[in-house]
Amino acid sequence: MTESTLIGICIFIYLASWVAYLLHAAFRSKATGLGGDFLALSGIIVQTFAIGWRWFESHRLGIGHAPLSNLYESMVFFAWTTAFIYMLVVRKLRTRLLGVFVMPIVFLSLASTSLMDSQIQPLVPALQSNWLTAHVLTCFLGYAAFAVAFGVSLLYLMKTRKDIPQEGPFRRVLPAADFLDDFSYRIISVGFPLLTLGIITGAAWANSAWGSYWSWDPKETWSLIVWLIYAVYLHARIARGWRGRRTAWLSVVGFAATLFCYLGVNLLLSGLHSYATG
Amino acid sequence: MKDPSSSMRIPSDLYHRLSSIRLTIFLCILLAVVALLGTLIPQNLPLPQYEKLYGRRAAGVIATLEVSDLYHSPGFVLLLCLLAANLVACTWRRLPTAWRALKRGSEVSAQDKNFKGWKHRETFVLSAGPEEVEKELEGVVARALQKRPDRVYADSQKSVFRIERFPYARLGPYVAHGGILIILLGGLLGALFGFRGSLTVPEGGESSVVWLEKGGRKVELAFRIRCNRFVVDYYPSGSPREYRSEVSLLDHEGRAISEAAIRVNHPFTHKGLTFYQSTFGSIPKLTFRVENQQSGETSEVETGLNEPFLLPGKQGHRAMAVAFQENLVVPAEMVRMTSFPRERLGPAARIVLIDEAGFQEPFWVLQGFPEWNHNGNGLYHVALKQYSSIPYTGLQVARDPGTPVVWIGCLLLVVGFILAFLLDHEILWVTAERRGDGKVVVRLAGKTVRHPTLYADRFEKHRAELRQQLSSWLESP
Repeated sequence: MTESTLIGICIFIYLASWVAYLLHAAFRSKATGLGGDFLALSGIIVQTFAIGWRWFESHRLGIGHAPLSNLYESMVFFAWTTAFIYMLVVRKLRTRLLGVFVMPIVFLSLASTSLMDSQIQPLVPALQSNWLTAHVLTCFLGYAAFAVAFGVSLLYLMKTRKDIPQEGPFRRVLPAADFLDDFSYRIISVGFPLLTLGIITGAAWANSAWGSYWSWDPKETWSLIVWLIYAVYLHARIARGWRGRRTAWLSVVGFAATLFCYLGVNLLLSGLHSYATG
Repeated sequence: MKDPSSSMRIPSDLYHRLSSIRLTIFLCILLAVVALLGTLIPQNLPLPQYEKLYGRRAAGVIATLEVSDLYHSPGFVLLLCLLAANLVACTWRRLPTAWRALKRGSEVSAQDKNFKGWKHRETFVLSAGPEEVEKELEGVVARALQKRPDRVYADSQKSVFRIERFPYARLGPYVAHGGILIILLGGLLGALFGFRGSLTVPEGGESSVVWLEKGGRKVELAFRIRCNRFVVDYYPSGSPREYRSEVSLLDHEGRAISEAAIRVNHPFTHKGLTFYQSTFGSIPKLTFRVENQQSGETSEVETGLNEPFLLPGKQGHRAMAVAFQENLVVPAEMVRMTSFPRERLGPAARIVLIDEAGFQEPFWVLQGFPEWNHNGNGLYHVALKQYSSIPYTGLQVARDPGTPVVWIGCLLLVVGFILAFLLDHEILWVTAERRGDGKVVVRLAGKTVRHPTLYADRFEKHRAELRQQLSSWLESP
């Protein structure tokens, strides 16, 4: 049983979890809801094992490093952290409908790894740093929080739709709009400090590797763009006219920017952060 | 409340705009959009490349507005200054209120203790005697709420206790914003007083010349760096595992001041200058034999790249090697001329002749095919006799006085986050009042700075604890 087999199993488990949540949204039976939860949790457990296995394997090959060093490993980790934060949060949110929007993110990210080169590679000199673990860990925990907040904001936008005045069965079952709004604020107020720590550790690493804590590299600049968007989000509640749907859309835009920062920059733009081919 | 602005005599309208959150939101969004632009338009390219990409007119606009170095352009710096001014104004306006609220504790007067408007409150009716309650209440409250309360007010009829947790958490946003200002300051210091450049040292050789990143100028260091050894380690797969430059710093007399082994992620600092392992490569050393075909004179020249050398003969012409390849792939221009037995032509140097008319068209000289060199005017025959490669190490050299300032700013930012997001200024009131019928009524009320929905769980815990501690005194449950 190799790591890629385990990851392959996880992909199907997460897909099944998403399907269960979709069925739960349609039929609202307790069984489908519990099924979705159970599958999501199983996926996390199996995936934790897979990540640990890979870490262990790398030491066996003599090139031991935390599995956070390339596109494949970071994408696997992103799926894991998103699922993990989802599990922490979904009980407090009191609605499993969040799974309808967050599980696809988990499933798709993990599924995309099957297209990538999963070979364990030794670290090139620039990546041989303790800052690597701290930087990738904090950045991805932040990204995952933004992914979950994105799901909550989508639920909020559905709940507060003005164009369809009657509340359909889906909307009726969602918690109060205020509660959803509050909740996404809470999650973002966890993700934002994490992202800030991610940027700071990245700057410290850049300083020791390249002699400059900030060089306006596209990746660094985009992380600042994401940071600014969520800073606006956190302050927007105090400003008049910015509450409600506007901030929810801001959370959606923020997550889109997060995805571009993570993937778009590496794949579309060039700079110091370009991943080694594949 | 006296508005600080009136004592400053700034136009109050301007002050209110400068210290508004809306301006913050506007500036952050604008900053994000401009920063985005800089990631789409390649930075720091020479003008002709912008012309190739966007056409002449657009390239002209890019040059005038300094979009080619967007993040150091006056417009961008202005945006950052505006944001800093906004931060200062916001702090100036709001910090005094926050400080007062923190110091005073709470706006609730000692008289109004029914907490009618409070979202989180509870009332307990006790059946115990008032004297016993009065004696024990403070201890009961301390055990239930896990902190010694302040007795704010006490008379024969009632006692009022207050418990406050983390009042300084209110300062969180201001500490964080202060951190941001200090980070911006650090960046400014670095931009004004710092420099970055690159230094190339051949293995076994020395250098003291640093080529600056900005403006292409060079700086002479007060000491020389000698590269004693440059080592590259590879993984079995072929990718590099480590590059290491073992260097010595020498003073003017050649005595060693310091020694270091510089690796990626392990820079070396000496007197405020930091050296980073950046890159490496090899410098070719080429030996040419040149014959002046008119006069028959020959000469042998040992040279590197881009070093003009004199050609034999009265004409006083010069030549320069501009490129070198260990194994040249047949260039397009040569394929047309003649046919070669194989695709790769071995060691080859690209030579350019400099005569009275200036630089001539460059041509390749092949070590393996000395009879073949096409030098345009037929006056000289150039043959590549020997070559060797000297490895060199490329170091980045930087001095940035702003860096420690930036780290202090980051620390303040993190502390500010802990205060603002992790901790919470909580105020709990407990009052005990003698009712008309002789029973004692104990009231508990709590408030927090953050949103009430988040507080519900915590208050529930306080309520349960107090109920537990009062259980022996309570009326029938």
